[in-house]
Amino acid sequence: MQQMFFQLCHLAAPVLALAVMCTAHAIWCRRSPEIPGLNALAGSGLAGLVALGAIQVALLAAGQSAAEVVLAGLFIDAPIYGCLAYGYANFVNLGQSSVRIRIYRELLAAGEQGLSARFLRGEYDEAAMLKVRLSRLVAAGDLADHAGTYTLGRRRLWHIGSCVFGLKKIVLGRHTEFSS
Amino acid sequence: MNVLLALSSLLGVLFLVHLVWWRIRLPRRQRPALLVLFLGGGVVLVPVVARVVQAAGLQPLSWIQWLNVALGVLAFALAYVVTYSALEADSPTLSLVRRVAQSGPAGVSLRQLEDFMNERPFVAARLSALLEEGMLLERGEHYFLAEHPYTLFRLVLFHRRNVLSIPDHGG
Repeated sequence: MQQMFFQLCHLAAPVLALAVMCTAHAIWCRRSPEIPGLNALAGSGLAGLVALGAIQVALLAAGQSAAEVVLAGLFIDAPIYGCLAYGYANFVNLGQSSVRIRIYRELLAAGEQGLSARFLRGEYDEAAMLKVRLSRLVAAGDLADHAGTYTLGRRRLWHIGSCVFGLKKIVLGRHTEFSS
Repeated sequence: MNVLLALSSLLGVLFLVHLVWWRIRLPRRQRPALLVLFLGGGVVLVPVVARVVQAAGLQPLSWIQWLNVALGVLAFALAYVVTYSALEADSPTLSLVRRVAQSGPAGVSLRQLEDFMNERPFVAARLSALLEEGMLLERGEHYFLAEHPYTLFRLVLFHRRNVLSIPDHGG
């Protein structure tokens, strides 16, 4: 019976940690909207991780062996929570930077009249996209602006990009969709 | 230990099948195909994985542990499908960061970044993808929303507006 209880706790742990992350993120965004989106996500992800750790400590206190807690906590609960948190972060980020959702929003607002190709391409041309992204990346510290010359700031997005471009090479055999 | 073995062997086999399949021929609708492969394939492989656990001399999994394995496969599949969107189509933000990183400590000028972005027609590529997927219609010089539930898009915008209280779009 106790073994079943431990198994149930490990099943619920990543989901509870995700709930903590989502709640912390919503509170963070509502209370401090000036904080860059990526920082709010990282902070709330950490809150979820702390909750996950607290559940593991509670299981130890409840009598589960340290070896079982470490094995399940590190190699099952934490990776599952990581995947769920990553999924949530991307879900939130879709609303922030997805070109597709921007186009959807514009067309929804336009109603039955639709939008001209010229308007869409002009409104969301690469120059406008660059301007918005540069200011967001500089504000978050991911890029540094030295009077119009940009260098890499924090390396977190570079690491994510390296993984994504590396995986793209493995799965699709190319680094970019624009390569011929 | 038995959950770990079941989960890792299941994910390993599914990922390998995905790699081989994709290298042979890309499915027309790649993300739905991925979900079907991971979720459907996961169910199909359950008896095989149960045998593997048994052969390894470990205890058979209880129904709770199978649920744990299912949660693990679901979480990985969702995370991978989300990542796959960035594999299928380049992220403008990550492309930009990569370009700046490649320039090293000397940095890159705004003009060079503009040239870089002009070589990558992100908006035109997304419009083409939306047209191909049947989510947009093109009549003459105008674009319209097709009859489509747009469930994910609506969910993302609802969450952003009502849960996070962020009215504007980041761009």
